[in-house]
Amino acid sequence: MIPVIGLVVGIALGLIFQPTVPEPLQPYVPIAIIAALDAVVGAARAYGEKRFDDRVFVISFLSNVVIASFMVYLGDQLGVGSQLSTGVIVVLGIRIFANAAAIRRQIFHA
Amino acid sequence: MTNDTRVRDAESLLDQLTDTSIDSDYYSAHERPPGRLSKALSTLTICLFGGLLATAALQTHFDRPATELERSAMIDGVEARQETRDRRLRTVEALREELVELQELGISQDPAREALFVSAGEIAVSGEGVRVTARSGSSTTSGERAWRVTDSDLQLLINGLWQAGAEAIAVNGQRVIATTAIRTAGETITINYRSVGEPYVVDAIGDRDELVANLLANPAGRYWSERVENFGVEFNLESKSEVNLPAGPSSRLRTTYAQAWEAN
Repeated sequence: MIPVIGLVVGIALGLIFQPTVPEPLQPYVPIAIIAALDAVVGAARAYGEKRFDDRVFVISFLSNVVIASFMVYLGDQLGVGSQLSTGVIVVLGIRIFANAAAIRRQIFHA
Repeated sequence: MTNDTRVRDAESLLDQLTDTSIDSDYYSAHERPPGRLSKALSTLTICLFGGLLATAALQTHFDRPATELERSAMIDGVEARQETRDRRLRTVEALREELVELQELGISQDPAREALFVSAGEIAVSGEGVRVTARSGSSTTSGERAWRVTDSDLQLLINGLWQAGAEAIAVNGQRVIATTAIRTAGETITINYRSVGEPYVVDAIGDRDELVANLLANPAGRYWSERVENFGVEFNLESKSEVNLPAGPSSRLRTTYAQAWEAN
């Protein structure tokens, strides 16, 4: 319950205050969102398996976002930006799908 | 949901990805239960996630008109450049046509050049002249095959016409130019690599009275009279007030090598 409230509060704050992302960080926002989504869906699956741990969630969230953004930034500097970002998105997408499938199994079988 | 699916070694990359999709730390045993700080931090993280979502959505929404504008500006730029290119292509076409017109104008206004084009066979020409109609005789008039008009007969006739003062010659509609070959190929004669059949109609342009007189007097004319008398070849010479000769075939007019001879 608390996470859902937290999510709603976060969205509301974002809509009210409308913070602008600084210019140099703007290209990395989409990849950060996907990395964050991966961490959140993983946390949801762990919660369903009764294995949720707050510390692990926070650390995985932050590390996912930072590492994914850094990989894309590194790719841009090396000149392989689009390829590397494609790879990151593919891997994150597969993980999200796998976790979502596990959640679906929990909901409909448990 | 058991955990031993995770312990198994996955062979393919996809299997590895799906098996490790959840952080393994969730499955390690924790000594101490999460305290208030950890709970607060995780709630804060969820808020952060929500805020990130909202910010990104708003940003895309507000940036949309700007990106649309950029896109349509680029499309306009591309279309403008395509239009310029089309306009330039049309100009090129118009200039080419003008060039052809000017060239023809240059030809027609310079009589010396025009004379060159006539003798080279590059342009059609008409004027007074003569027409020679030659036909092979029938086989009954002579035992040998000399009743047939051969390529050398025609060559001699044409050389005789040049000698008699012809300015342009054509055989059965084929203009005789510097590279014209008259050969017998099997049963027919080919001129400019085109087959021509009997009767052989040789048109020549020049002063008709002079042509007639000179041709009958010169060696070619005498040769042909012999052929007529002794071998039954048919030969008919008539002067005409209007003779039209076409230009030579353009493929035969292209010169890649030429050597000038002194005129004697």
